[in-house]
Amino acid sequence: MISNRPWAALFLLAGIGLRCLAGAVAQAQTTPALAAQLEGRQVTAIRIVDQSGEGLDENVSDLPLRSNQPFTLEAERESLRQLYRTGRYADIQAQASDLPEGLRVDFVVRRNFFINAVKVNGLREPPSDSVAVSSMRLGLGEPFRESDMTAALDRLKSALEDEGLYQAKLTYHLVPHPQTQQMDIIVQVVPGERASVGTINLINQSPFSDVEIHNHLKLKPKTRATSEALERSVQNSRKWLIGRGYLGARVSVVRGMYQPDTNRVALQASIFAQLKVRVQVLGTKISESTLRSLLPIYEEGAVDEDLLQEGRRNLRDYMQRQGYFDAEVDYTTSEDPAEGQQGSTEVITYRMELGSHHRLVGLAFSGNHYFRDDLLRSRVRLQPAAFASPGRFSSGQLTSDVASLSELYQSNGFRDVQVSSDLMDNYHGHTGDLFVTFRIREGLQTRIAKLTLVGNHALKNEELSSVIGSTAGQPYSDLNVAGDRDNVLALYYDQGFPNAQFHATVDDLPARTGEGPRVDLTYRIEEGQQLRVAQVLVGGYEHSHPSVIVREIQLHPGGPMSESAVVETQRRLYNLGIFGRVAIAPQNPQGSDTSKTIDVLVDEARRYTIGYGLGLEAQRLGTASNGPVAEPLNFSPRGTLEFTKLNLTGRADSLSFKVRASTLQGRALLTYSSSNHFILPTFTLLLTGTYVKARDVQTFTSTREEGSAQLTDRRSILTTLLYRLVYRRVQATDLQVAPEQIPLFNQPTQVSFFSFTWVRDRRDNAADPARGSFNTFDIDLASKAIGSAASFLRATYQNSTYTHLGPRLVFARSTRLGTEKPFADSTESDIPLPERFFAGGGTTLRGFGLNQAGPRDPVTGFPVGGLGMLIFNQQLQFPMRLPLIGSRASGGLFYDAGNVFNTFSHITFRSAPPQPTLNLASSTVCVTNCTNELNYFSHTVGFEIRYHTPVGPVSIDLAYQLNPANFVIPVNTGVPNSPVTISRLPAFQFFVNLGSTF
Amino acid sequence: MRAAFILGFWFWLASSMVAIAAPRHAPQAQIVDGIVARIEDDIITLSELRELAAYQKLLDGRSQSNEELRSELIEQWVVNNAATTARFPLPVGTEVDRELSRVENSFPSAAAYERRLAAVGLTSETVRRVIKRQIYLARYLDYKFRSSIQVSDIAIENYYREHLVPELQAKGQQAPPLANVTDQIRELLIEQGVNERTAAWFDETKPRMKIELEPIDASTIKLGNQP
Repeated sequence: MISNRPWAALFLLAGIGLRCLAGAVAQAQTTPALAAQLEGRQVTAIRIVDQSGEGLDENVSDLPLRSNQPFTLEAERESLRQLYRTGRYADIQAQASDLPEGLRVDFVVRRNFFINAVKVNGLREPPSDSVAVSSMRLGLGEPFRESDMTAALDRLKSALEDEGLYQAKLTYHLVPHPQTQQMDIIVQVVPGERASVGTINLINQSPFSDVEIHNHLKLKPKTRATSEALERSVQNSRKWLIGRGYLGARVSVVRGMYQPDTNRVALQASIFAQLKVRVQVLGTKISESTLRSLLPIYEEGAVDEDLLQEGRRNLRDYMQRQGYFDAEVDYTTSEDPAEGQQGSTEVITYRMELGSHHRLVGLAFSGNHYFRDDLLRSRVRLQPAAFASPGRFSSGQLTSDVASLSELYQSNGFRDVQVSSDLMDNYHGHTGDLFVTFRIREGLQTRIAKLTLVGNHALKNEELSSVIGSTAGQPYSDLNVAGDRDNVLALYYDQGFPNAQFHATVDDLPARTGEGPRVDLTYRIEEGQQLRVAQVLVGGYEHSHPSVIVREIQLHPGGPMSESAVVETQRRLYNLGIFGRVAIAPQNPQGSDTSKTIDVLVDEARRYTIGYGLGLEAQRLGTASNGPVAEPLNFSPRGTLEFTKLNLTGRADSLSFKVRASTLQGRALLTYSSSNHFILPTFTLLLTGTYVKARDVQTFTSTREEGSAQLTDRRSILTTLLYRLVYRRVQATDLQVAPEQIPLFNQPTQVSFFSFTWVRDRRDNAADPARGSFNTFDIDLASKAIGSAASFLRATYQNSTYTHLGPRLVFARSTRLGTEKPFADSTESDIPLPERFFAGGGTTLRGFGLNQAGPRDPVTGFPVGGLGMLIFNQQLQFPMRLPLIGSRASGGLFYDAGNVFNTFSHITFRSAPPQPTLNLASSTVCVTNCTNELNYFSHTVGFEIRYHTPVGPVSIDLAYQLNPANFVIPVNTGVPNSPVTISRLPAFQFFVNLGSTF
Repeated sequence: MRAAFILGFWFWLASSMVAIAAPRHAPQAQIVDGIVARIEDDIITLSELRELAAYQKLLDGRSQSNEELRSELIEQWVVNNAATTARFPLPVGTEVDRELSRVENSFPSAAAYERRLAAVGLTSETVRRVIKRQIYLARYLDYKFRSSIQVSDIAIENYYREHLVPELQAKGQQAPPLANVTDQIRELLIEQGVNERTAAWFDETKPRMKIELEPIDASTIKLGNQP
């Protein structure tokens, strides 16, 4: 038996002595003399030809077998192997022809095909198409071998069976693309009926009855045997057991035999829940929910030493964060057989010694010369107590901060730095006050005397130096060298050197008097071979125009195979919003060929999206009480319908239509957007048509028809230019006042204007900025010549800055200035109401209600906007700690000032608002300041509580206007020459905002 | 006469056409090499198969079948791959010389050896190369498995009693005392253990490898038609 193993010959030959090699006399080796005949013959030509005889390379020179040299079988064999390893050829044959001038060797090849698009048709989810495709593990660009298809289909079948599709029938066909040597693989699935859950074999090792377990597994005979259903069953049961205190419960549901006649799959469910766990905390009170969040045994559903210890540390840190800095926590476990009716119970007891309550009142640093205090302060996470914040302190955090400071010094060349901390209790005699001093012994700073780069050929020293921090004269540290290594290798990878290697050596130099330690640094680079792009092949698109894809591709023939270019291409293609999947891979990735074809395979997203919804709308547009602006609460059913077609013309454009309708409000919006317009990557075209019918103001119903064309030019990451043409027709109908009382501004009108906007956004986070600035300048030109009812010019400027003063301490300020001017034959009163400036509300002037600032209609008392605007906002944002919310909250003190004014020339810094006066004899007739112009400079102070969420802050603002104005309103708005009364703007305002205030 | 002329003309014309249509004399291409198996990202070539066959014929006068030869080359590849990955050292020249001498000395004379070499189509350089590779692989297997094999005295005694003594008695020979052959039996049992472990290793390793076999027809080996 053993002696028949072919490898046994090895031992025979090596003298170890096994017998071997019985077997038939082979026929294949009847021509071994051929090699001997050719051996030593002069080779005159070497070619690579395909099966049809077409020459692919007529003068091969880079193989071990060479022209004008003697033929050797070894060189020929190595050449054949080398050609195979390029990955370009599926099969190769070496042929020798005897020519008068010598021997010609032809390598006759069959070229490889490479996997391109893989599609699975006929699938019924689950699994999804992408899961099904990935289950086959047919990688884009990999050499295609039909022999691999059996295993790939087996894997797909297994994935389908995981989803209950046991009867699935799979077939496939291939679509070769000889021009590009690519192979599309189309798999057709006939899924069949999805199997249901069959018999369940329950292995119940728990105190609960089988019936109870079955009830919580929730696997009924009609349940489809999908992976999600089984996983859900496991999770439900486990959650139930953990909820009952069996933290170590284990549940598994595995598939058994499939019964084709009933199309059911048997399952085996194993439940193991023997030990119940109860947790008790002695020494303090902690809520159940907090305990569950602090103790990992609940999340992990297991009890072991590591988890119990982690829970102990979490409890200690939690109490330290509450100000009990001396808190000590210990735990014991015990078994209580009497407690549980269903088996014994393990009792985990956490005992706490809280100690006295403390407060971290300050931090200090001593011994630091190289770094200033404020820089060191920014590196530590301990936080002294502040207004509404108890600060942050724990012994673990203190240790961590000491390590952090040491690391900071070490990374700056202080190899012998020593950092320690002194914790002073009862600081300045105040019981419980703590003061931390970090004591630093910097030691000597080691600097780099010389940096030598060795082995770099493709990249020059200057290029590498731009990413190397450890240059001559700079501090030396292992951390910096590690950073340099990452940067250098990233640069090489980006230039197509995937096998680049980096080695650093450090030589300590002899000490010199008056100088610190110095080292010589040598970076040795092994570049390896550079991979270049031979060509880029794009596939997978159906509706998209190929130029749309090609223009986003950042890899170019002849250029290096850059990793960042691949990522950038992928990012750009995804950004078009028309592809569900973008795969980019080199063809023949394992091949030794250094010139790679790049496959870009896109999968177009679904083009049509339809959304709809129904709801109920309630609206009260006036006040609830009786009076001129009172209105009852209105209800209306509301329906929404959205229709979107992506990639409308195949050029990454989209058309969207949205309708929202109710008896209170109706809105229709048609949008067309196209990115990369005019073949300029920075240009985006947006066309919109809007129709809105809404009861915007209590005195009238507004109808708005609007069309706009906007060209966005994103000049840089910071700067954006917008060019717009807007046509807007506004009508006011359903007037609730007598015709003679219709304010001038509510007359039907239409505007049409050109607009230009410049935006420069340097904020670190647009949703919740803490640093940077935001500037915008907008100019609109409306003219009767282009269909506007009035000709006017409007200019608005905003400048906002955000200054980071400390950890979560931000000072934000903003100035907004606006003016509108009529021209040609238009007058100020011609400018329609909606085109005027309005202010007031959570994002402008928080001392006013929404859009309530500025001049008011003397007839109705409602705001009518202005032609001048000046707004100042100042806000100091500081960290806070609130019950339940914790440190995710912050507080803010703000001061808003300004107003909307009749005209730009009416802008004033006068704080006193004009006071209307009534006739002394008849207190219902206004005699002075009756026009309600309200040109004054408002001052508002307030407080904000902000809760930070991943999508931006949610804030609650409480504002108090220091100088609210009085204005006149008629007692009865429906009667001409009605007597008037004086009303006062409310001083207090309350807002809830989502997002940054300004 | 005229008919003969016309017939002659047509014969000449037809001959000319055939001559024009026939391909010009092209040099006859001989197949030197090709792929007989793909293993992972490498190949086993026809020339390697021929070489091993010739080597076997040199030693034994006969060789295995094509399929057996290919199977052996695949297993050699597996061992070689593991050995080179482990950076196992190559055999030194003297080891190879010694083994080469053993092969040469197994022939009646140097001339007989040379004649045999020419008959099987091998050169002495090729033989040396093959021997070097065989030693390398065998040494690696021995290194890999020998240390894990323990041979007990009982196993030696059993082999002596159950195999050696009956075998010699069947030949009419007197069995030597156990103490005199203990070392040889121990070595033999170790070799058997190495072989068993090697077999198990192959059985475990090969199914996990990507191995594709091509049809072998040595005289007219063709490129496969599958994509």
